[in-house]
Amino acid sequence: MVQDDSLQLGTSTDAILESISDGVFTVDLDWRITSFNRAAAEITGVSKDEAIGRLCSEVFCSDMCESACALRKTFRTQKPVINQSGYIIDSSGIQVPISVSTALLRNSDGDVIGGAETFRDLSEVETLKSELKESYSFGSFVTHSPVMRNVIETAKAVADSPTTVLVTGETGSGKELLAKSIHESSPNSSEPFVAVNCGALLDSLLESELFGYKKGAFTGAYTNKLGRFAAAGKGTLFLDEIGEISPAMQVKLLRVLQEGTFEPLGSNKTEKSKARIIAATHRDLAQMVRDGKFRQDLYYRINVITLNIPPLRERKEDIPHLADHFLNKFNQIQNKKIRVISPEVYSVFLEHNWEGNIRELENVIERAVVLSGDDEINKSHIPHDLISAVGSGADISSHGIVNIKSAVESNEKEMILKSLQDNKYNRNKTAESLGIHKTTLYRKMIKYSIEV
Amino acid sequence: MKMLLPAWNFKVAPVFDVSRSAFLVEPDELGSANFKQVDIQANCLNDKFEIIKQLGVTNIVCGAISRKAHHVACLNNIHVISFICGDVSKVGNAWVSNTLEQSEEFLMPARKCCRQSEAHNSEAKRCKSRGDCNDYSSNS
Repeated sequence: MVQDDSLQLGTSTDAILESISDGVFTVDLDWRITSFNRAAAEITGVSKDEAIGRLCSEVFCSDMCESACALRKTFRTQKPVINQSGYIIDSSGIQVPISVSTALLRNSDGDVIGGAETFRDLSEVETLKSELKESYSFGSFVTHSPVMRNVIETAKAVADSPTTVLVTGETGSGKELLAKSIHESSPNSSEPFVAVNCGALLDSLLESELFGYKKGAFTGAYTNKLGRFAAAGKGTLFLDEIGEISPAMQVKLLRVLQEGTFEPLGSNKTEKSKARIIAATHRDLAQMVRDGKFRQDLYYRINVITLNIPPLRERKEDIPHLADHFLNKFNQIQNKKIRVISPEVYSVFLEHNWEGNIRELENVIERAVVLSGDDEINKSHIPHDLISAVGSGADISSHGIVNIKSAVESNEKEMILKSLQDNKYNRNKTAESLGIHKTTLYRKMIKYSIEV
Repeated sequence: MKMLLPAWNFKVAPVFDVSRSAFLVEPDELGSANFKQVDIQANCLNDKFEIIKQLGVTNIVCGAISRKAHHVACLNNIHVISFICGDVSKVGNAWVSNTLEQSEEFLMPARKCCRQSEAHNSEAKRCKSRGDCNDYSSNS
């Protein structure tokens, strides 16, 4: 047994132990608790009076006690244990995640007289971790990427209103899925969601598709046909590839958007459109307006709320989850039982640039599921050009040219250095000659570790 | 009636969920506790309860137990007396003689409120309203 006076904490030590947020207790060589601070009482739910003199395992109730006791290890090895993870079960049966650290207690002669264990409640850390890991979902649209969070939040905010939405993003990035999710979350979700690919249809065909026609409107119009605006009713009309429509069609579309009315081909009766419009494009509509290829008034009409979906290469966190999602999908479709995608394949996926975005990934997984004969997708099941492209990328990296961004940064640093020399290291003049503000120059100098 | 007593170093194991060994306790003809050591090590709770069910266990007397494990026990119609500590032989005999729940000797610290509340309905209601005992009072 440890002598009482050898474990008596001084007043100041006592005050420190009572003030910290980590739980601390000490035990003697019989594993009985000799001191127990305020935080230890808070975390375990056991008061100091109840804890003192009890076996530490009866108070601590940790998953480590029986087979992975950190203090026992410290007694055995004479070395401290730092931040060993586990959990305790508090008095209400709740598992509290903790990390423990240990140390030996010695008397003035250097003899071991007990041990000290500090433990930290990781509940908050674990909650934050799970929040970071959690996906941002919106209808069928699920993402694990923080850069998508704003897009999802804005989409959620606009779903309730009838506002026209413009979804931009590269081909295959999930524009239609996001539009569908907005529709599914809207008050009119029970109404139809009608999608039209404006880029796939000729002008005359697009007009009849959108507005419909009456019998006899043109050769071959044997019956009345309902257009997509009418079919959408009070639901959503998704106009994909709106940047592809002709100037003439732009005028017709503008009228519907402005006045909410249209006339089917061959009809002189004006019909009302109550459909919400969600347009999408992979093009830079603002640039098209500047180039005179897209009507400015139509652009302003559809560009009320813009949601820009970043390309897959800018949200690589989503790749493993999407890959798993498509694996499940094609397992069901093709009646296969492929369980996993090998880590090598994941690393190829993470290196790949995904110009075709999610659609490209979906196709790659579909192909792999077809080719795989066992329960795993490995490198032999994915297209060779995917692997070789990644491989050649690695070669380039090894020669020092990593990508455009690093090349730009390298040039920028050289320009700043040269300009500083030319201006005899006068920062104001350097900033002026570079055409940037002096604070920008200062920031970039820090970024590139340029010391003057 | 068979009772499972998870054990470690001949004492009640501190945490049921990770306990690897236990004693199966049954009263003999003379009213004394009969102990038989059993292995209950499993990879997950469901596997552990599969083993326990196969042993014909109707009661578990254990140390700390997570709510999840307690819930699985309830689903398997196994009565749980939790937050018990002490020597295996003493606890086993106290259970056989029906004195376990009356004695404070075997209670883990800070668990008195819950145990007492299980024994007394009015107290249980008070505890439950505080949210202290939630799952635990259901078995009392």
